Order: sequence, then structure tokens, then C-alpha cells
Amino acid sequence: MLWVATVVGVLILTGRLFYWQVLRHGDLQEIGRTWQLGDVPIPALRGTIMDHHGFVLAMDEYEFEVYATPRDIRDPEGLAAVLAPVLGIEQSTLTSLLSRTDQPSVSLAWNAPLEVARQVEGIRDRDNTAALGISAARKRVYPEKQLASHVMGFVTYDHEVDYDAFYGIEESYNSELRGQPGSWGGSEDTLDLSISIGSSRITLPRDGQDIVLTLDRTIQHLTEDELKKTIDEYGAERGTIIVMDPRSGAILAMASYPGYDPNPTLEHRISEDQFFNPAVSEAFEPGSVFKVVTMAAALDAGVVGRYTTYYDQGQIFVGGHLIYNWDRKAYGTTSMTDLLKYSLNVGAATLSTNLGSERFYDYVKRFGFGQPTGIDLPYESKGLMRVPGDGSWREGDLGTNAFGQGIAVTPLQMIAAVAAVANDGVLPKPYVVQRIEQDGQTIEEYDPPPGQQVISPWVAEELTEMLVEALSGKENLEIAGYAIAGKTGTAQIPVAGGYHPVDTVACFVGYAPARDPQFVILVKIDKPTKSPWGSVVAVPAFRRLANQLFVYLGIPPDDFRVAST
Amino acid sequence: MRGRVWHHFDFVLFGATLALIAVGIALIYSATLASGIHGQDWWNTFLARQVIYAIVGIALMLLVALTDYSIFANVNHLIYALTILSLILVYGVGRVSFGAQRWIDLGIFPLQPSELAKVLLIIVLAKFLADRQEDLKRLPYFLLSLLYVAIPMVFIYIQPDLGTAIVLGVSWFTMVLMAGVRLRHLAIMALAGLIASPLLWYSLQGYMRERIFVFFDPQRDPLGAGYNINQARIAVGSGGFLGQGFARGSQVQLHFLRVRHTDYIFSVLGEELGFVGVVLLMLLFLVVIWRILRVAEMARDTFGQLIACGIATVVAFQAIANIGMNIGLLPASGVPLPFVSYGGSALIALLIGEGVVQNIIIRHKRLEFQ
Repeated sequence: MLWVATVVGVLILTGRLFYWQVLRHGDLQEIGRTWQLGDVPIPALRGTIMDHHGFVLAMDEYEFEVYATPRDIRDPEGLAAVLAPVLGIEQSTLTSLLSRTDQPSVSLAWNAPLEVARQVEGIRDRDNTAALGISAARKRVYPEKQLASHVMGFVTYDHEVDYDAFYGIEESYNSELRGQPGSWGGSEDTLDLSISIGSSRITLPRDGQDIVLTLDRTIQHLTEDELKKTIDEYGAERGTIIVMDPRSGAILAMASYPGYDPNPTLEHRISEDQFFNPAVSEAFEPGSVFKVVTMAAALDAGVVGRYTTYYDQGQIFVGGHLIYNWDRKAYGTTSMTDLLKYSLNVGAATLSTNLGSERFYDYVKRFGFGQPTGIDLPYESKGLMRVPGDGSWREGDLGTNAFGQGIAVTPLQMIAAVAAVANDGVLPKPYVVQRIEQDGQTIEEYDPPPGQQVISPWVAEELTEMLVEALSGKENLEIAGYAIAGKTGTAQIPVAGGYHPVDTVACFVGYAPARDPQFVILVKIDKPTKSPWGSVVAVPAFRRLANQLFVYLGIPPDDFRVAST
Repeated sequence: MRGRVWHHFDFVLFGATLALIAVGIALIYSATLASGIHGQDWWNTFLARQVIYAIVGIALMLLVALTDYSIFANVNHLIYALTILSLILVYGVGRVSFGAQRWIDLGIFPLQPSELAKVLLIIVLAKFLADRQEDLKRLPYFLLSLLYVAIPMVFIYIQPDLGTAIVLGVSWFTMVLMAGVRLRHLAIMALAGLIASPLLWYSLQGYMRERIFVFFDPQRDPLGAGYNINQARIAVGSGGFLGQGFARGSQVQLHFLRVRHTDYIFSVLGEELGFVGVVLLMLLFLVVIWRILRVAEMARDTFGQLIACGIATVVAFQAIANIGMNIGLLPASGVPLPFVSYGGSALIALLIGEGVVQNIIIRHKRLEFQ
């Protein structure tokens, strides 16, 4: 009788199996596919961002969420006792979490490391429970924290498939960095992404491409240290330093203070303005450093020569506008080099008026002002420049623009223009990404395009000699063995209806070694309180930084180099 | 003498059992293929552990087969007491594992007393019934036999482990039927059971009730209680006639199917080896049950008869209940597939039971030729 019952039972089962497996096979396979396809994505790892030498500046790491479904737990206390030491959570806290049967699932740990996730998986497999779940998530890590934060940008941190990238490289190279997420059906097997089965329904993720920057981590560190030191020393509000290779346009360091830590933290509550990169997104009135451009234009146009003099009356009318020197003094017969040395506004306005507005603005534009440099960073400002014919321009602008007033430029535009003088008159196009790699293989190498010749090479050479000479005798700039070319600037800050009575922007742009320039440095310090002058505030920072770069980059002293060539 | 023992040993039963165990090990391999924890000791995987359990179980089976099963009769009170004790012990030192206290941790091996109890209780119940075969026709003795299994059943039921409790109840039913109780008594009991069923319903744990609801309506909660039933049916259905291939089932390998190496191992087979595979598996079960029932017919005494009958019931009922659950024909009961599902206690207990069955046939022949 038992035999009969068994056989009948087996026959019923067979019939049922025949129904499901043979007759309804197609339907169920389809249902299975929809379940499996069920949009469970496999996140792609976002590409790594490295400095020029391969030091990691941003990378993705895995972390794991451990969650539980309280309704599947019949003994929360027992489970809590097992899990508490693994997760490092108070057992009573865990018990109450696991007892939340009103919740479909509770999160027990958000950022557990791989080891913990494996232990939890071990508990789950041993006890055969569906009550515990683990899901992998990625976390963007910026090991250098604030370093070059404005260049880096950041991503918003969530457990979704994709990041949202904001600012900096993260934003401008998002499509390269993000990769292609894959998808599959199994949410269970989060720890073992390398599963392979005989079905093509899994789309494996394609990890993002890696980005190698032109930035040098060491130079960036030195730069940020000097910037911070200078700001502290002179009680300034903020500042920017850029280090660039004038020959290629490669940015070696780009620092602005205050920066921010792009690592995702709960204290990520700073104002949005702070995310913008002041070096490329913020225009300022450059002041006297702009005289480099005016002088270059006058020399190149042949309006003056290196040894030309002019008579400085201490004031000049341009478009009905009276222009004075910074000390309101008259300098009499003055050489072009002394014009630069004493930073004479009257002299600069004399040059621009002699050039005439057409030629003057033509040169200013050729130096890249009034348009973005085209650097591979987002939110670049093109500055603010009035030119004849656009309505707002006035005759007086020709005079003030000559010494950097009434014109707003970005620090990057300014350094690029000076770099053109350093680079035999060729304007370099600044860039920060050297190379894009995938799995260690270079897939795209940036090849700097030949820049535009904005002034002739010999004019550039002459101007360099003039800038060196103008700076000679400045004790706080002397570096034994190396000639330095550059220009200081102390710009007033425009406010509604005129200029701020006290606040200034102290600035210095210089390059070295002057006769074989390896780097250009722009130092811009906003609102120093101890001293308003670029020559006092910005120059020491340049000097210290240049001194360190000579050593770090292994640049031989001038005599040695001249002797060997 | 020794040679003659092996001569009467049922190699067909033994072979079919080994085949089932082998199928089980292969399926456990497939089911746990993708969940290996890196750095885990090889001997601590489900696969290795099941192999070790099988070897231990077969050794014990052979040992039991060669021991005169009548010694079980002599120590039946002791076995009964120890079984009850171990079930109680589960509460004291048992390992709490996700809601149910079913295990006693023996260090290297977590023992599940309720699995062992199934087989041991069949032996002692057989002795109990064989001793009182005549008295059983009277209602008090009939009820006494019911009480005899009811005590361990209650302990198992409150673990909570409804499936095993039902297996015990069904075994009791077939055994008392075989021992010759009055059908009238069974009818009375069935009626009483029917009257008491609302009470029983309320004594069911929430999860048990939910499983029964879900059985009648699997779409009720497709991501909760109905999840396994749905996924198992999808897995079995996806298998088709020939299956997706060993270790290639997408439901299995993508871990849609949970508890796939234990309760739902049949679905692994169904998806990966298809209709052909499951029919062959059921044929193996039929062979095993047929050979055990053959022993029941040939046994020299009622005691042996009842043991074989009880063991056959356990295997048959569990196989049908498990497969039925896998294909949504019966409610989820958590009953493992005999010899195939992962689990040391169940496998070893069943092999010991089969050892007793082999013992009976060996003794039977020996009697004949002596």
C-alpha cells in the first residue's frame, strides 16, 4: 500500500514536472530572464587620476553595505550576538535594528571593508539565511585630501551606478573616467563579480579610463605650502599660484587657497563658490603685471626700442582722463627698462597711446585676453575686456588698460601671456591632462599644438633682458646663480563706483632661468593686510618656490649652462 | 560466515543510495560554485563537508549492517530517552541560527538532533509497536503509541521545525497501520484532528501560516515568502527537457535560488539537467524505496518489518514533500531531499537507518540458511 502511494505520488510529480518543464518551459524561461535582467547593475570602477609620475590623486575603492531583512529573522538576539563582533556594533543596538519588522530592510553597516563583508557572507552561507544581504558600492577616495582640490573637482557619493561629477578634471573628463556599467540579474552574488556562466545575459562593466595629469604632486605640495605660508604671513584673504612650463603650456601646479577636501564627508557643507577654480574661473584686474603685455606690443610694433626713452611728466591725459604714477611723481627722461623697473603708469599709457587703440587691442587679443585659453578644465572665464566699437569702451580705457586697470583677466590668461614672452614669443595653450590610459596602456597622449607667434622671438628675448634688468637689485628676489625675469603688480580692487581704498591684489609673474625658461610662476595674493605691494607680498613666495624648483627639477645655474652650450 | 553476510547484502539498494549521494554532491558543487569565500579552507566548503559526511555515514551504515539489529531492541528505552534529551538539549546549548534552535554544536560538526531523531524514533517505535501488536487493537494502547511519538514531535515542532514533525507523524501513521491497528481508531483520530484543526492553525507559527497562504497564492508576496517558490519554479521550468547543462543554470549560478544546496537542490537539478534528469532521480528514489519495502516483506519479525516500513516512509515522504515543494505542488515545509540535500545529520541518520535495513535483510537470509 505504501508502495502504491509512493508510485502514485511520483507519477503526480512527474506529470507536474512534465507540465512545467516541457509544456510551460518557454514561458518560465522568459519569466526567469525578466527576473534576472531585473536591472541589477554592476558598477564600473571610475578611472584613477594620477599626477605626472603616477601618484594617485583620486581613485575608486570598494566598500560594502550590509543589510538585513528583519521579517526573515526569527531570532534577532541570536543573530545580533553573532554579528556584533563582526560589524563592531553594540549588540543591543543591533538587536533593536534587527527587530524592526516594520521595515522591509535595515542597513547595518554602510562602509564595511571587504574583510567584514566576507565574514558576513560566511555567516549567511553557514546559516542558510536570506535575512542578510551585502551589496558592493564604490567610494571615491582622494588620498591627498585638499591637494589640488580645485583641479580635481569631486563626485557626489551615493550607492547608485553612476557618480555625478562636479568641477575640475572629474567633470571635464567625466565621460572618460566613468566607464560603462554592466548589468546582470544576481543581486545575491555581490562579492564575486568574476562569475562566468554559459549565458550571454551578463554585461560586464567596462572600467573607466585613467588620467595622468601634467601636475607634479611634489611641486603642487610646495606650491600650496608657499601659498598658505604667504597668506598667513601677510594676513591675506585668499590667493592663487600657478606653475607652468612655458614651452608646452603644461600646468605643473595650480593652487588656490582656500581649497576643500573632495573626499565625501558629512561635513561637505561649504558654499558653492568655493568649488570654482579661481585660477581659471575668476577674473581680476591684473594691474602692473599687464605692463609686460603693453611693453611687448610696443616693442614688437616698433613704436619703441629697448633703449628708447620718454619724458615722464608724472601725469598724462588719455581721453580726458588724467593718469598718474603710483607715487604721483614725475620721473623725467626715463628708459624703457626703468619704466618697467619703477612700474610707471604714465609710461605704460604713453606706449598704448603711441600704439593707438587698434594695434594695442590687437596685441592684447593675440596674447589671449578676452577669450578662454582652452585649458581642459571646466568653467573657464574669458575675462572682461572692453574694446573699441563695443559701446562700453571709452577713450580713457586705452590709457588705463596699458597698466592693467579696467580690464579683467584670469590668472591663467595672465600667466599664459607672460609665458609667451618666455617661450620666444609663442603663446602656449595651457593644459592639465598629459595622457589617458586604459589598463596601463596609453590610449591618448596629449601633444601640445604649436602655439601662435604673438611677438617676434628677438623682441621676446629683448623684453626678457629688460625684465631681468628691471628686477636686478631687488634683494628679496635674488637667487644666486639664476637670472629671473618678471613683473610685480599691485592692483586696486574695483568696487561699485571706483576702487577700494585699501584692498589690493598683490601679484608677481616671473620665469626662470630667464634665458632658458623652465617654468613660469604666477603668484596672486588677495587683500593682504600687512602690506599692499606685490613686490613685498608676492615676490618672496616666488623666490622661495623658484629656489625649490631649481633643486627639484635639477636646473643648472646660468653660468654652468652657458658654459656647457 | 562473513562472506555470506556480503552475499546477502542488498547491493541494489546500496548502489542506488550511492548514486543518490553522488548526484547530491555534484549538485552541491554546482550550487555553491560561485559562492566560494576566498581564503576559506578547502575542507570547510559545503562540497568537502558533504563528502566527509557521506564517508562517515557509509562507514556507520556498514557498521550497523553488521551489528545484530536486535540490540537496538534491547536498548530502545535508552535510545528513546537520549533522543528526547538531545531535543531538550537543543534549547540549553543549541546554536541559535536565524530564528530556529535546531543545532547542537559539536565543534567540528553541528548536530541537528531532530534529523537523527527521525531514524532513531522509527527504530524505538517499531520495537514499541512490535511488543504490543495485540494490545494495539485497543484504543488506550493506540493512544499510547500516539503519545509515544507525540512527545518528540512537540519538541521538534516548537523548535520550530514543522516539516520534521510531520515526517514523524506520517511515519507513525504508516507504522501503526502496518502493525494492524483498527481503522476505526484511525478514523476517530482523523475526525478529532479535523475538529482540532482550527486550534492547530492558531498554534502555527506566523511563518508557517504564511507559507501555506503563499502556497495557495505564490504571487501574494513575490519578494518575500513567495520568493523561493517562484524562483524554484522558474528554475525548474527554465530547465526544459534536457536542462541548461551542469553548473550552467542561470537561476542557480546567479543565486536567484536561495538555500539552493539544501531545500531547493531539486530545482538545481531541474534547471541544469532538465526533465530527463529529474525523472532519472525519481527512478533512483523508486529503486531505493522498492528495495526497502522488499525488506519489509521479507523480514523475519514484526520489529524488522516495521523498521523497514518506517524508513521507507521517511525516504518516500521526504522525497515527495521536497520535490512537491520545489515545483509548487506542496507547501514549503523545509524538508530536505533524502541523500541529496546538503546536511550531515540528515545524511548520516538516513545511512544509519539504511544500515539497519541492510542488517534486517542479512539476518533474514542468515535465518533461512542456518
